[in-house]
Amino acid sequence: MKISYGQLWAVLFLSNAFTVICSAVSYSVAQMTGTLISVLVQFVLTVPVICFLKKKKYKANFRLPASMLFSVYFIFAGMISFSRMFSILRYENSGLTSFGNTMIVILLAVCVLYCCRLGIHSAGRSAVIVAGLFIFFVAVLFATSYSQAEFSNITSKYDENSVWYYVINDISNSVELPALLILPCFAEKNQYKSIMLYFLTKLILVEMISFLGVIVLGRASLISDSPFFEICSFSQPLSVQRSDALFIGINTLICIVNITVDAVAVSVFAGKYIKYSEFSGVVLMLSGGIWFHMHEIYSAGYLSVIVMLMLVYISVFYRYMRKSERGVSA
Amino acid sequence: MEMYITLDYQDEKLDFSLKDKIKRFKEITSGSSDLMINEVEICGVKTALLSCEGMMSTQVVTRLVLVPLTELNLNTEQKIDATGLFDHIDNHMLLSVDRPKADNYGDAMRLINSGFAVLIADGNTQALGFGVQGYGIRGISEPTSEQNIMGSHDAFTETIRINMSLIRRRLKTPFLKQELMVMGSKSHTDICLVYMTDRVSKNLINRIKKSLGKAELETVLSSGYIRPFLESRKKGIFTSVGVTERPDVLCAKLLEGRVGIIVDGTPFVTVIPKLFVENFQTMDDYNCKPYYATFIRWIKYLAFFVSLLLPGVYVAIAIHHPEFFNRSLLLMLIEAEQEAPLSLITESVIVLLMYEIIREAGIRLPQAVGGAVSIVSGLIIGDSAVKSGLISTPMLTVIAISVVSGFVIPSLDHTITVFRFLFLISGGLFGLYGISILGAVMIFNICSTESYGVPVTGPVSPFRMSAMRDVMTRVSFRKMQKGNFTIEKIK
Repeated sequence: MKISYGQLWAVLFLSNAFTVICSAVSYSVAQMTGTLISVLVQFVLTVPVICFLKKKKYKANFRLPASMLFSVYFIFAGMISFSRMFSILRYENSGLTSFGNTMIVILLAVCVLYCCRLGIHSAGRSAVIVAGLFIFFVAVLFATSYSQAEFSNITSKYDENSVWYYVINDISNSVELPALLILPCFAEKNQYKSIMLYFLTKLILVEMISFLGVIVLGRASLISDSPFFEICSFSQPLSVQRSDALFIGINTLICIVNITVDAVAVSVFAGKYIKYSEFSGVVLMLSGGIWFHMHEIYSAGYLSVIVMLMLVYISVFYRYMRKSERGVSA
Repeated sequence: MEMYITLDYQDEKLDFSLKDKIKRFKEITSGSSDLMINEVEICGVKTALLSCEGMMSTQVVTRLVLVPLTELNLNTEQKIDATGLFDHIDNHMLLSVDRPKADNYGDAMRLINSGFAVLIADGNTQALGFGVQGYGIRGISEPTSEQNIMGSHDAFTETIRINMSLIRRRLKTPFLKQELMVMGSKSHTDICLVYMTDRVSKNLINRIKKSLGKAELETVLSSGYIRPFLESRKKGIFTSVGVTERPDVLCAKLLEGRVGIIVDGTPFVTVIPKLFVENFQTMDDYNCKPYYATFIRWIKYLAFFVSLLLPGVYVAIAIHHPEFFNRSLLLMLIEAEQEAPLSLITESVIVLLMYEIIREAGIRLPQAVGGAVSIVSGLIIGDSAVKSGLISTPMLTVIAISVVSGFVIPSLDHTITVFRFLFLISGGLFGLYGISILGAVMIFNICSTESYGVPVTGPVSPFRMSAMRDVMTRVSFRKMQKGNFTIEKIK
């Protein structure tokens, strides 16, 4: 079963939203500039793919090597998601011990196993609903944080890191980049629209959150483990409670959607060759996530993403370019 | 399309001789005392009129059938036989509007049990039926479950023919088709498929008929008997099949390309496909100004979330994330909960359970005793429990708000009741994370549910901008009249 390009966009958008929420990067003008350049660079890199998708339909007829490579990528992405979930649990401590936090993540994994059995169409539709909720909550965050804004933070130079530091940082934390090249095979048509819309919304979201972080937190973001939740702690909707509660909820939903899509992708690519690929994939993701958390690895790592990106780019896109030159349909 | 299990007499052809026919009818009914057999000679042909006592109108059958038949005088040179007599009655006499024929005992018995008077004769294997039903029926009254202020106040009844007329009265178009069929091997219940031929796809009708054909039931006493066969998923949390008691609501749904299924004996009509957002729409929304209707629609959405999540979120934040409350609220809660001997989660589960028990008792009790339930629940549980310190006031307030909010959406009451408990327990054990995980299960479950190919989460997901005009807001009829919306557009 296929999903629409809007649902694909929602999946990609949520993947980026999860990165934004879990990011430990401090907010500054340099960070905003670096992120802007990074997104433009990423967009330029995917222009050939967008042009290709405009002309041809992208089907998932991959052979064993490519299928295994993609499965490894999605398992890796799932591990990162689990480890990021651990970092949020540690920051927004629910009063439970680390064993309790582990139980929550295991429960999350069980939930993912149930959700991925319902299929990609269910994940796509859920992604649209969760994306809508997320956008609404971000609007609430903006509306309730403005009273804490200090616009003088924009001009004060408190961040010593360079713009290029943030460019590379953003690229290395964009775990969803290879997914841009692989997930379009799940969409029925207009796959290129979802990629273009993803970059536009990614830029808007990241810049808006960064701007809010600069004017609300300023220098305080440098010492915070989770700057996004730090902003939430400043905002009080209806002066009853903080916005943390909203974003704990939505963050968990986003994490479940992300890992579910990863698990479904693993079952699509590896399912032909490995039995119970969904279950094995989720178990591997959970185990890897626990290992990453124990070693405090919460970001993708420069090397792994760049290598993944290159490999995927070469194997997917080049294959189709050669086939189209030979006149063979995709 | 007849759907009933073949039994011994069902397909058995009628005997040639009148005596044999009468004997066989008595055998089939085991001599049941409500089978009335009136033997009479008409134009020299021995005939008998069979009917079921209490099912037909004695006055009507006497005036419209018996008198004309017994006074029949066919001036022919040759002696008329049974076939000729039946031919004359069928083609030259209009004794009733509904005149089915039967050539086997199964069809004849079904006609008799449905209130028809059935004429059989000596010398042929046919039976003529006359629609002279006169059994007791309940008059059209106000709907019990779907109240409104400015819409119509009539509701469906238990009689299928009256329900069909209520629909026909509102949609005077030849495109409205009402297709009768029979279900239940013992009950032979009349079922009617209602749809607009210019709005519904043939594929949908065929799929629905196929689903109904799979139902091998002995009896169909209410629409609830056939609904499980129309549900797309066995383990769906929310139902994908709608129910309505109101003819105006059904007509509105028919115009959107849906199919109604009327079951004889129940005033609730099944409507498929159904969208989740329809639970928040009422007929009153279309009788007031758009801005007010939009306001009320959003109140309902809010009420749904409050009803479902408020107790769980309150317990989750109070136990696991107390820092989220502002200072004054936190101090107030601490003061209230300090004296309560039970933990928050135990307290909340007990209060909710007590409310469910009282509510169920209120439904089952006779009206005369209903007042006592109110006093017991209000004074003893509400007032005394709080004064004694067993239950804290904030907890009671939270549960009360949640429960009252649930009354706003009665169609989702069952789901909200059960899941309110689940959210409470998950929130108490795992905090907001537990609530989110259960919420994700719910979202994924409803997103995977389809009603005959139509996703129930439409038009939110898949997103259809044109259909959102009646979801996020309620646009005016000037805008709504443009671009006929049908359920097929959600796919």
